[in-house]
Amino acid sequence: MGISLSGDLSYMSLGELVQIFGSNGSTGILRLMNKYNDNLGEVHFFNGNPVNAICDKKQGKDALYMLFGWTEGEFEFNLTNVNEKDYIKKSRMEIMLEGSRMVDDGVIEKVGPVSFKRGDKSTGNALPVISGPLVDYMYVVDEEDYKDGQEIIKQGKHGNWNWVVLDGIVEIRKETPKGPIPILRVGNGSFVGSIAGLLTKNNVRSASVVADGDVQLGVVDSQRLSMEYARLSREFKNIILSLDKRVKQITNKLVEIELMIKTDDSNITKGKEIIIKQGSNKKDAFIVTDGRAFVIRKTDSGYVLLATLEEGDFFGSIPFLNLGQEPDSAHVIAPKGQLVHDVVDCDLLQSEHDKLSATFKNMIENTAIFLSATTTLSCTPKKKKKKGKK
Amino acid sequence: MAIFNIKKREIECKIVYYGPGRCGKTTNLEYIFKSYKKQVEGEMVSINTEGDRTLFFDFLPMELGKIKGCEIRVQMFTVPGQVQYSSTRKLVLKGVDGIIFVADSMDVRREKNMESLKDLQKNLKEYGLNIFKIPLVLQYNKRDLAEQGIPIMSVEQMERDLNRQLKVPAFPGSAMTGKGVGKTLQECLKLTLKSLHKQFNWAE
Repeated sequence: MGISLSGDLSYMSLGELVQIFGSNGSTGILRLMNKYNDNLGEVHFFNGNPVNAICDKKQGKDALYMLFGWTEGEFEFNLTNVNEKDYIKKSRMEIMLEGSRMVDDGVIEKVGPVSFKRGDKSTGNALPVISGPLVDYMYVVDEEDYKDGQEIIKQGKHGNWNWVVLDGIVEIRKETPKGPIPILRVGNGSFVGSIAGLLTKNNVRSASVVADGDVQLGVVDSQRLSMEYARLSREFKNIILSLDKRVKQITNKLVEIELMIKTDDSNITKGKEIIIKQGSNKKDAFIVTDGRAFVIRKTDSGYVLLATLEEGDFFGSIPFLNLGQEPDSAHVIAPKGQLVHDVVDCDLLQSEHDKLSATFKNMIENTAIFLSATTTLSCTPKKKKKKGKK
Repeated sequence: MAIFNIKKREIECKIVYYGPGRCGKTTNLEYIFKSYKKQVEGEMVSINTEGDRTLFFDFLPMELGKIKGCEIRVQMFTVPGQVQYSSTRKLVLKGVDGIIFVADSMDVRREKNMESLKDLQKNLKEYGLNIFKIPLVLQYNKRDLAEQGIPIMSVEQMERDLNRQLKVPAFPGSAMTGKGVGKTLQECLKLTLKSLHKQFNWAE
């Protein structure tokens, strides 16, 4: 029998599906797909009640609860005979309420691009881990293994290689006169190296990367990606370079915060006008042609400068980029009457983006997630910092 | 949004008890579960959520009779009050057909009642529902506390605080003793069915 029902999990959650199949007394198999998980998830229904579930190596009730963490992805339901023992005996309503409670209480991890799982050898830090979608092996030219603590990239050295994490977690650190400062950790499917490194010959590494536990990395086929990059329009290349610049700026900001270097952003709005208001849902994007603009986030404790934009940089809402900055979570401001900007043709960018290889798209998405996570870290007040001030 | 189950010839609708933490939502539901045992199907599901319990059971109100030959089955829920339970609250409130807002009569809970009602309005809006249009009944709970000398608000004051704009049916109650519990539910069921009639054009 074919698929009876399929759709998007962000529109219809597992909890709702359990209710629907329950009311209909359906018998069949529900399959869930999430691009951050290698395996499919399955829930087996008999007469409307979930009788078994499979998620990675788990079975039964535990697997079913884990699947409640899949808040994004796709599902399909097939009407088919299910002849198994009742592995799950709880009532469906109890499962539904308990599953969603566990997600809300943080007992079950939400499967998505940012998580807080620990490395093999936990160093006790709770930095978020960025994961990427499944790796396309067509773009992996070699596999390399690194032992726990081994340095993969050294800040300040030249290098163009990019890696993708196949298994394990690596830590990204900024070297400072006061020792290395951990910025973020990245896990399976996430890229290591900079997207801008694809085009510049003498790329200088802006951060160090160290294995957190034993790690297997895939060397990304840079030549293939560089060729793809070369074929892009000037506008598209600009967006990528500007995105990379923002990542570097926010990383430096985070280092300043960690080192307790006093940066006073409170007067930043003086003499400036708002170009894009934080929280607006405008769908336009622009490119700076003259003057300077600033991306700032308004937080409970004041303004935080996220990025300084110059000629050639973009701002606004790019359809395939979720930056975690403007327009939803930051203002864009500029000195009164001084900013000159052009409108970016988002449809054109989108159609160019659609034609990219999955790996290239993933790299762009990964960079944006990285930016968004680092931005959140920079804007989260640190208790330590307060103490240091006085 | 009520669900028609053609196979079972049933109309399934959802009634949710809302209100600030410890206002007596669960006590209301527990009372109904115990006193209307014959009309309850299956077990009561109780999930421990911080500050409150989240309850669920299936209720078959007999006095409502059949509609177009279909039995009516009511899913009764309480909603977890704490902010953190956003996905649970969403799951429970999505597709709700009728709401009973349980307010706490204690003087000290005045603010909490108003906050919670505002919160309800906000949540409903997120799911495309309007607090002025959805079947809603208020219950001014814990009236019995006056006998123990605990300061409580007058019904008039609570009406002013909570029901000035809504103008929905409101009942004093005492969920501990069961006073007003059945009345509140019956009124909500009545309003819910009326609204279902309207939605599906069953009138006449």
